[in-house]
Parts: sequence; C-alpha cells; structure tokens
Amino acid sequence: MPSALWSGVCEMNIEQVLLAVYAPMVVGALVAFAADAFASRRLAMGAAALGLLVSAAAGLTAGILAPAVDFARVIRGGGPFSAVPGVIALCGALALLGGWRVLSAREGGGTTAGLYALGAGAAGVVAASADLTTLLIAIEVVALISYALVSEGRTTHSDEAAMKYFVQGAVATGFFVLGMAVLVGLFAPTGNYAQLATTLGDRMLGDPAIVGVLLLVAAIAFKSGAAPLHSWAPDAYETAPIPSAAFLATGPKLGAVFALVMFVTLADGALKSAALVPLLLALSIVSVLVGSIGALGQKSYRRMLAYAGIAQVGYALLAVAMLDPTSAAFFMSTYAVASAGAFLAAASYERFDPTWDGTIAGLAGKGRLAPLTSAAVAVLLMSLVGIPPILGFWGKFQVFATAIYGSAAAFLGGGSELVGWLLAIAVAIGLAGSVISLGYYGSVLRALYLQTPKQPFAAPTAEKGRDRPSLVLLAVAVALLGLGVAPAVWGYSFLVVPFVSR
Amino acid sequence: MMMQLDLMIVVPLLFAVACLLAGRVSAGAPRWIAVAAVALQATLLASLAPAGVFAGERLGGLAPAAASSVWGLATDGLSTPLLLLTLFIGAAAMIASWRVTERPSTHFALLLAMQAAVTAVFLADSLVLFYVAWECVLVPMYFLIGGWGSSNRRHAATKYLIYMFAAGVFMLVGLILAIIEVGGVGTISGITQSASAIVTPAVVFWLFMITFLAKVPVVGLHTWLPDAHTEAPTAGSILLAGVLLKMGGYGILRIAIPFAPQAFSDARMILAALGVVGIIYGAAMALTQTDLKRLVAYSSVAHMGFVVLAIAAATTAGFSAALIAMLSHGFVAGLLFFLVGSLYDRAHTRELAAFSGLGKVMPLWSLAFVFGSLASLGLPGLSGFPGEFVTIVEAFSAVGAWTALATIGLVLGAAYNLRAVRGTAQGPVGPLDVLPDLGSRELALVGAFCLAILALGLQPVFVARMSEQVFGALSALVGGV
Repeated sequence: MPSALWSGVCEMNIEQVLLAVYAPMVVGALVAFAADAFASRRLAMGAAALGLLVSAAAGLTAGILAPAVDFARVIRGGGPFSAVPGVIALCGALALLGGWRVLSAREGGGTTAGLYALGAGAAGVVAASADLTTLLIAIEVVALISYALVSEGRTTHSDEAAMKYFVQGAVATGFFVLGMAVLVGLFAPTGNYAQLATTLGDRMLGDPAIVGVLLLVAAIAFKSGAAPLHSWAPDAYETAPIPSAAFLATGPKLGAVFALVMFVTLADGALKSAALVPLLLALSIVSVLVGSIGALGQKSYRRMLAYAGIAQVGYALLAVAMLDPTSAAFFMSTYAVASAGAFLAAASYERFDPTWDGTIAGLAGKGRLAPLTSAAVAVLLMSLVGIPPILGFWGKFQVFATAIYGSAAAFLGGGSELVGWLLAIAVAIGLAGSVISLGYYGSVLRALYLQTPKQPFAAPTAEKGRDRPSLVLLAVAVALLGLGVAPAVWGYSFLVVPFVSR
Repeated sequence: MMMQLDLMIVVPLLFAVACLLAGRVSAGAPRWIAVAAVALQATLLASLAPAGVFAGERLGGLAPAAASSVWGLATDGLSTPLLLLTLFIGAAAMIASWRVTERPSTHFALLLAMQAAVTAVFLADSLVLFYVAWECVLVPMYFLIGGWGSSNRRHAATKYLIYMFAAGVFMLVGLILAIIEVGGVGTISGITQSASAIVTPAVVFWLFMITFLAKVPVVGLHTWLPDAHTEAPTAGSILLAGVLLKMGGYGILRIAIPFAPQAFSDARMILAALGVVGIIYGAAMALTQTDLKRLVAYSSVAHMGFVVLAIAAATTAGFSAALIAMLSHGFVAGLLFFLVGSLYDRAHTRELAAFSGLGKVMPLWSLAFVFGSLASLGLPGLSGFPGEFVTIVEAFSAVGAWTALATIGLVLGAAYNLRAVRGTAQGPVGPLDVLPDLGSRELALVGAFCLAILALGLQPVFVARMSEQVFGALSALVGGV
C-alpha cells in the first residue's frame, strides 16, 4: 500500500500537483469566508486550518517526490516550487492554530483565518511563478491581504502602520511595473521566465535592460523586508494581531525571497557578475547591519523579532547572491517556522500574564513561572541564532558554506576578485551579525531565565498564571530539535531534499 | 566498530532526560542518576580495555549510516586520556553539587548535557560533529553560570556565551574552508591525511587557532575567564577549569596542527611567546587577587600558558608534556575550585583577608588546600611537576633560550600559592573560628583528587606511553624538530 501511494504520487502530473498544493488552502479560505458570514467562527477557522495543513503536507510531499515542471509557462510545481508553498502553508497553519485562542475571541476571526489561507496560497504563487505577470498579481494579492491583516490591530498605531505599509508598498509596485515595462516592452516579447532568460542571457554591463532588472530586484526585495526598504516591517509586525504578525513575518517573506532568487538566476554574464551579485551582496550587508543594530536597541519583544527578521533576510540574500535557490529556500524555511513560533509565544505570555507590556524586560523570571512555554521559546530563539544542534544551525551552515565556497572559488578558481572580496566581507558581516543576534535573542533568554520578576507574581488563577503553552509552540520546538539532531544519522543533505530542483 | 563510543555520548543525554523526570518524583534522585550516568560511561570505556584503548590504540565508533552523515567517532592515545579526565571531573562536579537545593533536577540535567557534549568533542572524528559538540558545551554552561552562580552571574554568563560563540565562528569558517579545499572530506582523520590539498593552510590554521586559543585561553583572549570561573557555581568552575579549557589544547593538537603543519611551524614563535606571556601574566595577576576564587582562576591562565608553550616546542616530549600539563591542571584546578567552593559554602565569603588560621579551625580542609597548592606550584612528585618541567626543558632546546623567562612564572607560582596558603591555613585563628571541617562525602572526593594528583605526578609515563604513537606521528608531521 505505501509503495502504491508512493508511485501514485510520483506519477502525478503537474496539474494534479498544483491542484493538490493550492486547492486545499484556497477552498479552505472560501469556506472560511462563507462560514464566518453565515455560520460559526470556529467552523470558519477550522476550514482554513484544515486547508492549510493539507496544502502544507501536499507541498512538502510533492517537493520530495515530484520533479520541478513548468505549467502553461506561468507557474511551476514540484521540487522546491511545491516545497516552498508547502512551508508557507505550514506557516499559515502554525499562525492560525497557535493563535486559535486569540482569533476565536475576535470579531471576524474566521475571515482573518481565511485571509491566512488565501495569503498563503498567493505567497506560494509568488514563490512558484514562472512569469512576471503571475508574479505581479500574486505579489499584489499578498500585499492587499497584508494591509488588511495589519490594520486589524484596530488601534491608531496599527492604522498608521498599515498606511505606511500601503504607501511604501504602492511605491514598490510602481518599481515593479516600471521594471516590467522596461523588460517586456523593450526586450522580451512576454514576461515569461524562459524567454527572459534567453533575452537577459548575455547582456553587457551598461545595457539598458539592467534598469529593468534592478527595478524588479528592488521591488521584490521590498516585499522580502530587506534593508534599506524595510521601515514598514517593524511597525507592521508590532501592531498587527499576534497571529497575523506570525504569518506575515514568515510565509510571505519566504515567498518573496524565493521569488527573488528565481528571478536573479535568469541573468547571466556581465549583468550577473558585475551588477546583480554585487547589488545583492550590498543588500545583504545592509540588511544584516540594519537588522542587527536595530534589534539590539529594541525593548519590545515583537519589534525585536521584526528587526531580527530583517537581519535574517540579509543572511538569505547571501544565498540569493550565490544564485543558490536550495540554500535560500532551506534557510528561509528554518527561519520562517522558528520565527512564527517565536511570534506566537507572545500570545502565550500574554495569556499567562495579561499585565505583560510586551517588553523583553517584562518577561523577567517567566522561565521559572512558565517553564514549558519558556523552554520552547528558548529552543526557537537558539534555532534563530543558529546554535547547534537545532535546525536553524543547519540553515545558517548551508548559507555560509555556500558563500564561503563562492568566495574561495572566486579567489582560487580565477573568478572575479571584486566578487570574492565582497563575498568575504558579506560573510564576515553575516557572521558578526550572528554573534550580535546572540545579544538580542539572548536578551530574551536572559530575561526569562537569569532575571527575577520586578514585582512578585500573583498566585495563579484559572484564567492566568498557568503554564499552558500552545501545542503548536511545543510541536515546533520539538520538530526543530528533532530535525536538528537528525543529520547525525542521515547527514544534512537530507534536510534540503525538498528544496532541490530535479 | 565500537558501539561503546557512541553510547558514551547517548547515555548522558538519556540520563539527563531521566533527571528532569525524576526530579518531579524525588529531589534526591537526580544526583544519583547523574552519577550513575558517569559510572556507566566509565564502564563503557573500560569495556574497551581488551581492544587496547588504554594502550593508546585507535578505535572507531559505529560506521556512519549515510555518506554525508555528520556522525563519526574515534578515540586514540590523545583522546583517551582526556576522556578519562572528563569522566573524573564530570563525576567530581556532580559530587561537588550533591547539596544543590535549587532546582536540582535541572542542575544535574545540565551537567549531564555538558558531559555528553564534552565527551563528543573528545570523540568526534567528523569535523562538523566536532563543531556542533563544541558549541553545545556553551548552552548548559551559560545556564549553569546564570542560574546557579554568585552575585554577578548574569553578566558573567552572558559574557561567556557571547565571547565563546564569537570565538567559535572563526572555527566554523575554518572548517568550511578546510572541507571545501580537500574536496568534501568531512572527517578529521580524512582531512589530516589529505592535508596537503589545503590550498590556504595559514588561513585555515589561524581561523581554528583563534577559537582554540580563546578557549585555552591565551593572554589577550582570556578576559572571559576570570568572570566565568569566579561567578560559576562550584560544579561549573570545576568543569570549566577541569575539562573545558582542555578542549582548546586538544583542538590545537587534533586539528590545527595536523591540518596545517607548515603554518604551525611558522607560528611556533608566536605561540611560544603567547605561552610565556600567559605564564607570567597569569601568575602575576594571581598574586594580586584578593578573592580566593579569582586567584585560582588566574592561576589557570598561567598553567594553560605552559600547555601552549609545550605545544610550541613541537617535539614528541613537548606534546606529551602539554597533555600531562592539561591533565594535571584538570585535577589540581578541580581540587582547588572544589575546596574554595566548600569554604565559601561555610564562610559565605571568598575574600582572602577574611580568613586566618583555618589550619586549626578546619584541619582537613587546610591539609587538602596545602596539598593542592603544592601541586599547583609544581612540587616534584605531584602532577604539576612533570608537565611543566618537561615543558621548560623542551622549549629551551627546541624554541630558544628566551623561553627560560617562563621560570619567572614558576617563581611567581610559588609566591601566589604560598600566599594563598598563608592567608587561609596559617596564622592565628581569626574571626571565622567555628567552621565545620570537610564531611565524609567531601573527604572522599578530595581523597580521589589527591590520589589522581599523586598518581600522575609519580607515573606520568603512563600517559606519555599512551599518547606516544599519536605524538610521534605529530612531531614527524611538523618536521620532527
């Protein structure tokens, strides 16, 4: 029976793969919208959660079993093009299930859940698109959903954040359309990637096509939250409802980074080595610096996570600059899952202590008061730092190994020395950023475990003060630890299997 | 294919989980579980005796399950002595924290996690596993210092974690470069064999060395040590000084030199200078401390300076001296930290000025402290002597006459150790005149330490013979100076 299932999945054609990955979440979203309006909120949330979980399972399975194939030259499926949408759906599912209590207490929580499912589907298309038009439409759908989710904070602060996000997003869209106009209008007959690849294949430096490419890179980098186009992110993730922040900071970010790496791999020749790679490395350096230094100064837990996310995109950009989709997708996936859990932990702490003001200092002593929740948070944060043997370490290892390999190849193999030096600098700054990350992620550990609460904590009641971690949080922590130890037996190459294009 | 080696890492981890669970049932159970885990580890190692593990034979662990597996273990004449030290110090740390009342289950689970990680460092043949284990040591130690340390523990724990993580990053780059340059070979023994394929040996060498030298530590990279050693709970200090510092010396001998013998030869003068400066600086700083624990902490810098100097001599005898000095320092610093810790538990102060005439108040404690101090200053017959004596002789002939400056450190070593003895054990009985002497559990532990110090002092040749083959090959590699 398992082997029949196995070969059945292997023989699925591309239409079936796409259907299996996207249909569950889209149907889940539609059911959620309808149910929230006409039936119960919980039914709506359940439908969205189910859709997301099925999509996640289908995506990861297809990533391992199905080869990567183009469909109608607009979208790809199989290999990483299914695995990345699968991980995005997983992030949506984690946000929804981990934030179940928060959402089910909110008016319109079912619609919010539906938006996660729809947003995950759209972010999946962002990652899998094989055409600039598909990419643009998908990016805009994600953006609209994001604005809606951020403004749901329903405070003036969150309205402001959503507005800021919207205006900046509109500028980025402008860049995108302009870049597309340059490329499609002047050079390629359509925005199809295969055609773009032949058109951009061997451009000299100074070719006008470069303008289009750079505009598009800037637009997609904005969506991934890379510095210097990042200023919307901390406000958005701090003011959005916690589950929404957990989704927005992870799934769409992963989609955008993967879209970026798939787009830049189209370029070749001088355009690639003299313009794109240096630009991406510069973005990486700036993102790591801005994110790390920004995170170090934050008092708010979620704002710190938001800045840290900018630095994490900076590490991923190292893999993007090396034109290595596998490492970029794997690293961003480890980040996305851990970060979703870290955002959701804020909800657990809020429930544990309703007087918590959202600051890191406010977590003092919680390690002892809420040991299970805090142990899970400690694992997630150490994964984000990249401390072995937790999964996040292997993601960083992969990225830095790729970049160091590139740097060594540039020097020893006679490549461009400029690229070699830039890579070496970017690696050095990335590693320094990792050390700094121990400062800001570590400040949470320090508060949790090494500090005592400022005022004595009131005796637990039925409502608060009980260590009731969400199962999602525990499951993520256990999975990160388990997958982190697994390479001891199977080697670390098995971790990246879903993200390898075959 | 010795499964025992693999089990030596798995057992403490499983027992750590058992500690956490047992702590919910009984507060006294975790410590027994912890000691049992170390005893089981020791049994596993002893069961390899017929295969010649104590004769310095090279034995491998289970074959890796997959080609790209990051698991892979081996022990030989360099690893086995350090494993024995790890077992001894690990057990000592557990017995020293027998009376921990604050969250004992977590405390012992952390000790066991660290035991597993340190064992993995000394056993790893896979280079990535070595790095993973190396970094895994940090986290339990961070929580031990931060959770059970003394007044300034938060600062010390954070400093330790960030300092050591930052230092480890250099090794990460070094190991990636090494693996890339030899074409994807991932085992330490494999890279050693094809070390000539490393195109940038000096870069690889120094990347590894920065990490190792910070761990040892040498002067300049030592600033984490006084805080961490002083603020750590007794068990933490024993482990830090007893085995964690040895990871640095082990790394140099196991990885840095074999991967880049030529780069090492070029760097010998620098290392020797670092060693000599460390010996003098550590001893001088120890001489000026008013806090007894800080005094012992700085003495570690001096003793580890001898290890670096011995390695710089690059002869078979020099390498053996480095290993013996590491073992000796493990025992001596372990004993002294234990004694200072038990004194602090009674007197609640570590200020030298607060003590006087303890010889009459706590005769057994004082006797042990005098014994440990004599071993520390290098009295012949005790473990401190052979390693440091051979180091000076070998460095003198192999590096240069200027290394005789290290003898200044010996003189200062006598001074600070005798000052500590005079300040505590001798003199008229001071205000602290009723302190209970060592109990039977403490006495047994002190006795074990003293026996180990005596045994190593009288029969260092046992260790030298075990490691002869490894160090013979190593000195041949660097040109057999």
